[in-house]
Amino acid sequence: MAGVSDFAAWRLRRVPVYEPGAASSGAAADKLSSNEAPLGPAPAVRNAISAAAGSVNRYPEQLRATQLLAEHTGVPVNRLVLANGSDELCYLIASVFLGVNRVAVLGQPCYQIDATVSLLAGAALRPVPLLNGAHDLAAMADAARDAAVIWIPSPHNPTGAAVDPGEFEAFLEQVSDSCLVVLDEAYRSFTDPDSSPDSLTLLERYDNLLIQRTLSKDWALAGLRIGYAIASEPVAGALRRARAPFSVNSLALVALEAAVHEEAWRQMSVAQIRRERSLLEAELDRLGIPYYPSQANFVTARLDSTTAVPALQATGLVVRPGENLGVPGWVRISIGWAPQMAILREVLQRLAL
Amino acid sequence: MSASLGDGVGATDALLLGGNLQLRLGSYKLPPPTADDAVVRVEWTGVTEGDLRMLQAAVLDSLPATASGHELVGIVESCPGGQLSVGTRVVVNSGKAWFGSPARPAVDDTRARIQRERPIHPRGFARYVIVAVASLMACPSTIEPAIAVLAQPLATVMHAVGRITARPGRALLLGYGPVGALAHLEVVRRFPDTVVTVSEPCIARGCLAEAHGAIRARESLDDERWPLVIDAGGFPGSLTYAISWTAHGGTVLALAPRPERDTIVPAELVERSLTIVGSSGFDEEFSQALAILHADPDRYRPLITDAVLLEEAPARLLEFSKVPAAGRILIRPWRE
Repeated sequence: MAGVSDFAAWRLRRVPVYEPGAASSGAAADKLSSNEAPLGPAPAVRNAISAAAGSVNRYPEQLRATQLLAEHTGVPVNRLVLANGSDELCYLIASVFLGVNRVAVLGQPCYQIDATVSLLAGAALRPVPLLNGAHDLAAMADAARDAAVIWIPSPHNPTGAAVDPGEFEAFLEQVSDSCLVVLDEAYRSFTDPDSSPDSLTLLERYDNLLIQRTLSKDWALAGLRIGYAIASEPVAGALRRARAPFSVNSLALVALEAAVHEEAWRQMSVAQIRRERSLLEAELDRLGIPYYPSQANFVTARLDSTTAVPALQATGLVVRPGENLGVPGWVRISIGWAPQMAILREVLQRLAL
Repeated sequence: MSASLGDGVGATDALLLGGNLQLRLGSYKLPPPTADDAVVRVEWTGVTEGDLRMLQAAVLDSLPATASGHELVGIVESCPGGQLSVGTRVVVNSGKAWFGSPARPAVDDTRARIQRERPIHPRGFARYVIVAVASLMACPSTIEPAIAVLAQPLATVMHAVGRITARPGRALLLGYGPVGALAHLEVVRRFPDTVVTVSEPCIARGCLAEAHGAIRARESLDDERWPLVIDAGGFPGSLTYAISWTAHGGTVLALAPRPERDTIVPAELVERSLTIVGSSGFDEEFSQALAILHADPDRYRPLITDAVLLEEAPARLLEFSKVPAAGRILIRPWRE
């Protein structure tokens, strides 16, 4: 058996261990460590999930959910790929488009799953340092000359910076069409107007662009694990072929079907998060605490996690230390419900004294 | 920070309303608690429409007979009579008693206090309050305190909605402030198939209504009649409008108490067999409301849209008095 585990250890020697955000000891709303939706899904979605519990003896059927999603996004069904959260998409993309002797370009720090799946696929990583928390697209284009995949979360995790629409289009012009550009738009809904690329339009012009989205954030379905890719038909077909059968469970599909009719709820939730994000950033400004201006549902601030994390924990709030996100000396704070954010501001005021 | 309240007597930081109607944070001397009182460390206080109205000098003369800062949740700091254990989380039922005094003052008395005493605004917008034990209800230990603040407005709404005798099918809701929003949720909790139309001019509140599945009225309402009309609007003449939009045999729920007169024609009530239901007297519903909030906090969480620290309150409440918040505003008096 030693041989078996030795091989696993060798194979995983460069793969970082993923540490999820710590759970809260108090109310679920106190968890500000995993960029979750504080208000949860719409009541109609919760009802649909409850009503579907009786049919979990059946294998999931994706067709209806995919059609509804196609209508919702305005994208043909054959360009959509549903997955068990957008993290499954990362694994699929890496398994199909990466391998030994192939190169993946990503920001530094990066979204950790992108690095993990690339390494698992045997690819070499070519990290490009961020510029003030944002992707250095010019440097990434240079680094991508012989690359197979470029990972670009926008807004980026862990900094919350979004790529500039004009710069992103120029970047796509420079990248070879043999290199897959993965634009991860998990946090797209939280961006300011006109600060995100018009990705669906770009998709019409660039067959090597893949858009990755999730229903975990603004759609508040993180626990059900469902996301999707939008890509050219051949790329989407390849990912579907590599995907495990039934990887998206039936409750997630039912939730998606209900959620697409609850746009008002999604917009209300996003508006509350954006307002609280502004208040937090204004408070950080007032207190003189540096942070990355965020277009996402979190703000990463320069705080000593050895003092900030316990101080917040004493009030029941849990945040994410930057040490395991590639930003030591910083803390990532998910935007939560208004009362939790008020308590957070109070703790920040104490820490800044 | 507050002065020591070691024996339950002392001063507390509080939101104070000066004679010029300017809010400020200051120190307020608490009355000594009697054997029937408890000293409560305030965790969260709801800001009602009446509280915000107090900030608007123009409507001072129409100040309703409500206690400012009366929707609060806190922890018992001391209880001279021993009726409650120190450390118990409690919520105030201000319908039962009064803060630090045996009787609820009338409107005129409240006005007199404003003119006579400055500051006058110490109630729940303070780190500590003295509250009659009779008005305190112990909370379940696992309830989220910020959610528990909604116990009293929810009880108020439950009291009224509980008096609807027939499944309405359709309802018109005037106003989607926090009370209107709670009324919406309560109506559809009891009668899940009710289609609720909301008349609300504030965009943020209208969005909240739509998010909860209501239809937002965008056209004139004059051509339609509803079996149930809920007046949570609180604007001049809102009850008159509510009555006019109620179908024959229908019910009007009056949830927005205002001191101004509305015109009600008795013959109209008689000939159209209308029922008007008020919402006061919610003692029975208070514990039920607390239980519902405890059991399903996520249902009510979106109705609390803003929370401010006591120190932030003077500036933020002034903003909210000009541009209404989408939902209930909470103040966080306590500092860890």
